Amino acid sequence: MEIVVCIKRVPQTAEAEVKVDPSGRDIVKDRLTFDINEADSYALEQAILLKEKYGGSVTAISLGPAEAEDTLRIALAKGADNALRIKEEDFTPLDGYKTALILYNIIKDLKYNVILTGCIATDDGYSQVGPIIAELLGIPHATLVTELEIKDEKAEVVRELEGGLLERLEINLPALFAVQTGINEPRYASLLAIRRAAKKEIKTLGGADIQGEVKSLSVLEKLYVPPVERRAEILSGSMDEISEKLVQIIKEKGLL
Amino acid sequence: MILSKRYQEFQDWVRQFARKEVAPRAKELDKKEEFPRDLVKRMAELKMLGIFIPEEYGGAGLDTLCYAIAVEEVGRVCGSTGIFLAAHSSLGVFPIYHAGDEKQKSRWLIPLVKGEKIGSFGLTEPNAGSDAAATRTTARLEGDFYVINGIKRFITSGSIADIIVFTATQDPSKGHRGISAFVVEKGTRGFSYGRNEDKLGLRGSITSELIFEDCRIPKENLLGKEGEGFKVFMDTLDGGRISIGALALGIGEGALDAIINFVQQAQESGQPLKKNQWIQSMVAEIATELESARLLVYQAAQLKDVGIPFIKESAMAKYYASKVGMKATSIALEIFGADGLTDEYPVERFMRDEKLMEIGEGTSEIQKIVIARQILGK
Amino acid sequence: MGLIIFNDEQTLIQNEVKKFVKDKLSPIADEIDKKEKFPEEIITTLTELGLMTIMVPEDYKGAGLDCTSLCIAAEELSKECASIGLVMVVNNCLVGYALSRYGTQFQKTQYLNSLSDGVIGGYGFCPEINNPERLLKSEKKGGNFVLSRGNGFILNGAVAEFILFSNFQEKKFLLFPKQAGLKLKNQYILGMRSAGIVRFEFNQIEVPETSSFSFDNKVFDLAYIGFSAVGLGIARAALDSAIKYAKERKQFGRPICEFPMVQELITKMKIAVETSRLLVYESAKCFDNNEDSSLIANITRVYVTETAVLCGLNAIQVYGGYGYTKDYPVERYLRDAKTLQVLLGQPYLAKSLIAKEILL
Repeated sequence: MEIVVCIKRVPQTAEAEVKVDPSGRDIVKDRLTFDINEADSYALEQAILLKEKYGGSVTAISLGPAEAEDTLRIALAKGADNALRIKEEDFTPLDGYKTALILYNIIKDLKYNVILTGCIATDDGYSQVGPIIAELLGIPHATLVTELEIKDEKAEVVRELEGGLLERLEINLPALFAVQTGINEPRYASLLAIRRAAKKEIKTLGGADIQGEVKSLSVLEKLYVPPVERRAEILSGSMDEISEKLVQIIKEKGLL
Repeated sequence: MILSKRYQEFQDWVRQFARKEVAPRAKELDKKEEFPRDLVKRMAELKMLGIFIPEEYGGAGLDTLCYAIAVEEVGRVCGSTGIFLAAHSSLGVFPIYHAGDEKQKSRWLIPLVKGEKIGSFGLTEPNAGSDAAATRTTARLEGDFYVINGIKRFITSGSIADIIVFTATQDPSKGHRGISAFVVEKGTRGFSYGRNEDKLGLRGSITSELIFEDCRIPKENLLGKEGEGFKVFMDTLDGGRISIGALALGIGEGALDAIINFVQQAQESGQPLKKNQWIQSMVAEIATELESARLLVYQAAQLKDVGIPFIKESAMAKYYASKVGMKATSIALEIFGADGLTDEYPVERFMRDEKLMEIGEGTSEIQKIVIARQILGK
Repeated sequence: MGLIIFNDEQTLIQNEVKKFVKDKLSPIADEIDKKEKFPEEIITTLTELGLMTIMVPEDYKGAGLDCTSLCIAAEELSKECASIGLVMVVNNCLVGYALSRYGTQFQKTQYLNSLSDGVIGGYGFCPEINNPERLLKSEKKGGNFVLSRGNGFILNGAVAEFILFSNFQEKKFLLFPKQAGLKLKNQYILGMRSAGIVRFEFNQIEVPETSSFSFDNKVFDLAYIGFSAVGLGIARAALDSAIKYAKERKQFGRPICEFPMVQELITKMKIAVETSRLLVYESAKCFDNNEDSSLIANITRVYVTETAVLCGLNAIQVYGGYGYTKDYPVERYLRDAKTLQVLLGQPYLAKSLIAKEILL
């Protein structure tokens, strides 16, 4: 089974203070740490699990800056067979469509039965790239995948719907799956594997390797932090005093 | 410092007591987190629970210097027993003696001094540590009672105390001028204990949370006048600092005693360890520093005894004694090496106990502020 | 931050270990410490990731990496749980490296090989300053060594299946399996309580002469550097805690981080931590470049373990009464730091080695 997995290197913003840079179209990144996008680490693990079960090979692709090679090396250390970086610097600015178009241009010439992506990137949160690649390739796809089994050239997948519902589907291969976090337990790369992966070659492709024109459909105008509008008030004093003040405020607002 | 004969005799006497009766219990008290009730009883019999209290109230009728010497000598063998003695005397007994009226003295002071009751002092709150004026425990006068609400934290001997002096505010907007001092007795309705703290050291002493929920205490339990609580506890802490300084000194000296014992017996590559200059250098340094701390502690005690202002000196005594005491206990482990990490020697316990001396009854940072204000003006 | 430069491999290792620590170790570090029990499951995972055999050559199923990689891993693990950092450093330096560098072919096949399968090795020693009665003494008798009157500590002893004893007088290691007739005793220790440090004693043991092999300073240089990396982790943990608490805790109507008295406590920690980092990775680089690293290893050990103690003390001070309780990890940082500082020998012994090297 030939598996392609798309992974992205993203800034870790969950616990960091995020500031917009002077251009107004990007965030200040020099104090942030970067790592593989969370959902993508599950996609990568799923790719390796499929390979371990059904044989074949895993190709990890990342559209990113030179530092994304670190992310690809970890993919190699965990069990990917090939790693490919598409030079982001040749294509910026990027939107979801253009990213998908570039990846499509590369993947279409590769052998694949299964393509895996994460279901959402934690930086831009578009959730577009997987489905657009599938549409461009003319293959079926499923998003928010929480279970994935292969049986007789078909995939049995479970996907997450709103309101706690799950959906079970049978999908013909080749197909693309955008996986949800929690589908598996991503492994850690062992030191020996990292050491070996550090010496492996990572193939890079740039603007010259893509045929045809790749264009964005949307333009990022401005990034901003939502203004704080409402005032919060912290009441202090003994429990009785606090309750009293609270009742008074509620009364003032006409809620009682 | 040359002590006069009277003090030397007292020192010998209390040292004998500490070594014979307290020292053998120290390891076990720390291990089992056991409060030494029997030692409290013994100290009461020996009139050690009211050393500076006049004989008419059941005290020993001695002075602050004797008291400091006693805390030092007890702390030298057991920090937990030392902190009990210091807290009971300086924080439980002293404010009642200092601010109580005759009725209050006969009601609370005498049983405390006789050791029939255990005393404690509730000042610190979860959000009022160094900033004691931020007291949020409230007192509301209702007829003949004050209704108390609030929580006190890190209270030494809290959950075993029978008589607790504490502070509460009648008007938080007035800051320290709204604070009064009161006494609550164990068993009063609405007064309970939270959990006891699990601490790094002083594990044989109890540190608790006190909880007041609509606790009604009679009007007569007001200590001093309304709004003068801040002064009561400032006076209490000025004196308390001398005892914590003495305890810090004692624990540091305990570490030095252990070093001396160890070094005199140990050998290194066939040579007596005491001939090693690396060791000599460390021992000389901490011995000198501890001796200086002793001078500061005794000086502060003597100033108090003769009625000269001693705020700066008591802050210096506590700040310096805890600093050099911490260093002495830390160096003790560096001399003992791996053996010192075990409970076969008391040095690791001394180090754990000593760290509180830089925190309790005003952190070192607060002491420095007090000293600087005295020197530079407010 | 330009002086410490990690290569690609080392950066990847640092990120992967950080991730492991954050996901797997942080949620249980507190529990491990409270239980004061050797964390066997975590150690099993460390073995699988190659963290217990970082410098063991690939021929013996190790990761074949260098001292810098070891320090990176030890620093990150110790930031969360110093006991685990210590177990890992002992296994890597005083067992794995000692066997790879000095062991006989038989010892390597038998013992070194087993480390990557999850066997843990221990390191036994008698403190150097001592009652001479306690020191390990060996005599030849026929083809055997007879050891008498040993009494000391075994690091990793609670779970070790074999133990390397150091005999400093003769600069020899003696390797015995656990069953050799040792009396092991659980021992209360100030800190590093989950690291499985035990006491041992025996009157007389006979082991084959082949179980002995000589060593030189190199193994202790490495151990001191590894111990320092553990200290660096503790110091950083204490610093991070103090910074976080100082920003949150309010007194006198302001966060306490705004008071210069508190700033002084924390800036002292920060300065010492940054200096310590430079020392740890400088000495690791010396070691990796095969330069004589005794001097720098001793300097690093003295300074960094002292820094860890300072950071533990100051972090407690910033926390005030709260720091003195077991509700917060800062009291553990102090206990672990002080234990680390004196465990492998008194700091003044390291200072005297520095003096010897630069003066005599």
